[in-house]
Amino acid sequence: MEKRITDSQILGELGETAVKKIVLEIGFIYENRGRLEAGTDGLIELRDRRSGAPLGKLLGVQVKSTANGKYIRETDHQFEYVMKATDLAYWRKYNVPVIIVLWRQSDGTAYWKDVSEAMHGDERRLKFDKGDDAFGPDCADRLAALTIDRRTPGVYVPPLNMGESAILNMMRIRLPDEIFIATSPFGTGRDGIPALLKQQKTRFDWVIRKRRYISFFDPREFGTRAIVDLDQVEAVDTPLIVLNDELDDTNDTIELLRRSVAHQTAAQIRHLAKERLFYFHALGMNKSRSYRYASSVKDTSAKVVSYYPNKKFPEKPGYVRHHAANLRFERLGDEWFIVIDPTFYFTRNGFEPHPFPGALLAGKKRLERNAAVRGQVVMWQSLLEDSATPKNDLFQETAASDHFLGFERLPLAELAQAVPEDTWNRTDPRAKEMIAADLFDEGLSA
Amino acid sequence: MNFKTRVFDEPILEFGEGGQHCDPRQGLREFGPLQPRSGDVVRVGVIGTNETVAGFTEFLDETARGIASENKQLINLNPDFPGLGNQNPFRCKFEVPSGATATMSRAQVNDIRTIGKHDEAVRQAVEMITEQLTALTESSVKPDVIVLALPILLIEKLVNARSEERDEDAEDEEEASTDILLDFRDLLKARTLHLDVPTQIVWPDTWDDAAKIPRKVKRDSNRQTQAKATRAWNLLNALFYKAGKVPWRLLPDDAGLRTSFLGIGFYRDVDGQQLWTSTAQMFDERGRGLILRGARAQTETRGRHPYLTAQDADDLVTQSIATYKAHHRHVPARIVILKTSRFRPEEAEGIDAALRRAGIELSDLVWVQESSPIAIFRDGNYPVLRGTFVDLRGKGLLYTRGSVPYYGTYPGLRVPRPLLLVQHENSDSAIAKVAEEVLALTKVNWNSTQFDQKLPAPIKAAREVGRILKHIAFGTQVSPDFRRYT
Repeated sequence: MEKRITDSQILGELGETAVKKIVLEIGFIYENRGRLEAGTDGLIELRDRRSGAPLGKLLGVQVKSTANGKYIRETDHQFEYVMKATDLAYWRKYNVPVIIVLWRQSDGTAYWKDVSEAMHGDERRLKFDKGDDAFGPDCADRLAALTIDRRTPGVYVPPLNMGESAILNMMRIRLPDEIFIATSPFGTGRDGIPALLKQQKTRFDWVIRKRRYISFFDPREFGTRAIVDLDQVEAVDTPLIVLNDELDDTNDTIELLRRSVAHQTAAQIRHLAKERLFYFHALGMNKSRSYRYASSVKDTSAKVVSYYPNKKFPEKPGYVRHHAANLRFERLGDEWFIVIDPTFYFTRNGFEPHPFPGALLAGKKRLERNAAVRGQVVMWQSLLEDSATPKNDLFQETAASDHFLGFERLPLAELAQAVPEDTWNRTDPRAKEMIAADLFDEGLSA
Repeated sequence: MNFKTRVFDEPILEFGEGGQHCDPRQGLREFGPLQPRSGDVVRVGVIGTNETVAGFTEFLDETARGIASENKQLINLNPDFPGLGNQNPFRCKFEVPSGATATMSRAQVNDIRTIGKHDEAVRQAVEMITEQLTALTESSVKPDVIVLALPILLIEKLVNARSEERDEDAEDEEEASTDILLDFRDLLKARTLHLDVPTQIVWPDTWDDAAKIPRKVKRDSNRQTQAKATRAWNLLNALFYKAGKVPWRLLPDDAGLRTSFLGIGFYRDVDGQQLWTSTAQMFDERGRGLILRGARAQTETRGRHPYLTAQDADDLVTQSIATYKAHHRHVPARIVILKTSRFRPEEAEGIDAALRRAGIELSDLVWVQESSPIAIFRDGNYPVLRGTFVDLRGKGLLYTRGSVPYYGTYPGLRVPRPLLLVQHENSDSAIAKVAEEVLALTKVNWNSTQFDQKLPAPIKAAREVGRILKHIAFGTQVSPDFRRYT
């Protein structure tokens, strides 16, 4: 009889090759076992991708290949697999952890599971989640977590993942090319206000200090003509003022930026000078308010003003929580940025300041977590971006002179190492505490 | 738009016999302390009521037998305390010798409790305890360190009366010392600064899980009870350090230059009128170990933004160089000055003059901004890793708190705030290198064995020194030994 290699032998080899390829792509080392194996096809050795150092931590791998068959109870999201009793008995003797990888030729999928992670009460049955258990570069940290005894002090593996990107909470500001300067008969802005208020077309996005007036619009075209020396108005290149190293110019720039942002965003938020806070104002007494915006994934909305009735004494007044932010202006090199630092503002009913905001804020801050703050930063980004787009619709019409400042999207920081969150969600008893506990927030997903 | 980023590895510490580890507790367990005690016994004096003295002494005996961790799932964050037998992390015994205890009577405690005014009660308590401390230090036993085991009744009286208006926002409330009322601990440390023995204040909840500290006191002092094994680690480590030896230090960089780190802090005197400067200087001791010394600078400033005059900055740096030279017989090759406010031109000028006179070529002047509004958010529930660094066009954003792979979790709860490091133009090193050093310096805090501390040691120490010195009249000679201030 002629020699033959069966199709299933080829399939097995293909599966193992496919898995080997994935392991190498993860950045780990894969070694085939020799002919004398009885239930593990290979060994994976962990390797720190950044340094290239092999870590001396091993895992056994068994590959099960299928041409195109369906798995047990397979749906779009999950399926089950039953291990052979003899295999399981053998793997139990291993002094390294063993994983099983199921590879299917027809769709090229590969899923994995630690063989000891069987369903409760049925020790041979493994339940796979197609999302969580896909075998690929993202599972590096979970694989690594299997190799250490987490009950031995001093032992850990560093994050072995591909890194991740994060956002910085500051947007680069695009400034107009020109800035208007003039001398003013008034020494400070405060002195000039009464004269300004007698005029038509008043606006407040300007700065007067030491008799110098600056703004991004031409003061002669608005009520501001009353507070400048008209023959002294001139337009200069913006960098002359805003990128100057003089402390006075820097302070004036910050003040001008703040006032311009206040002007530009007035339809949505108000500014509190004393608290140095921008906040979403209420639209009615004791009324909540939502704000719709486009987050990075989808349209979403946030409850930016929330009314909380008094739980203990329903007849007594409650309080209103407003989303707010400290917007700070920071110069880095030759660029100005607006830094978004989200916080909250509290009122009695939407309008009167709350007499004891400290305790409310502290309570809220205690519950705050990374994802929630990130969501708020993304929301503020959207608001600022929106404020830079002229409106021309039924509700609002704005002129070009109302949109001087443009805002670039939040910059990304590419981090070389990611928090191994998938793994920690399984191993860290504190994982639940990392989830923001505010049930009243809508949306706010980034 | 791109910014350069890095994630620094957890800095390595050095322990006994050259052992290295990133974690103080595991390092001590495996290698023992950097400087073992020559006598191999730490003699602990105890002052308290009959009850607290007994409670503390029993706890000390219990630690010797070892304490199992209650949280095996996060074993690196909450390791067992192995005891003081075979795997003794300190390689020495802790003992309360007979005659090394002093007790306060019920009458003494009650007297203080009946005083209406907070400040007066604090003063009288400090007076009473100072007398006992003095007597103990003069006794023949000569303890290496004295523990004040305060009874709850006294704690309630002395700590309870804090103002409601504590800085709510502070994620690190331990630093928010906007004390309007007289602080018992600070005053006591100030009054006993001249004594030849460091003190450690211990509350009953350290040894007794059932001890009920009133909730209000707990909240005001931001006191969180840790697992018992962790309490044993922290307490014995602090006693060991205060008894005169260094448990660990940063792994010296062989290729690096001999560097002296100087932290500058500012504090207001008790009347809140004048601003003074406190400093802490840190450098490697000749031989092995580390010196952390605190001092007051000969200066005063007024106004909202504290700063030094050129002459004062010059004096300060000159003194610091002299201190270093007294230990090493040569000047450091490099000086790093960390300050929590912007460097003004006159300060830089004064520092520059001092450095030039001493012939020191390399220096870094770093403004450490503590709660920078700039932050990084990853997409997920956990905050970014501790050690995450972003170069913001020359300013450095550094996360000293964050998710820690060694612990397998984020050991805090609130969203952590990074430090913003701003170098003065008179600086030689790249910001990334400075940031890496600052991260390492956060691990030099012998009052805790958990390593993810927020502030670099020189700044934290300068601040602690300031808290004590505000109670001491200017011109009084003060001890440079940091163990007395912490």
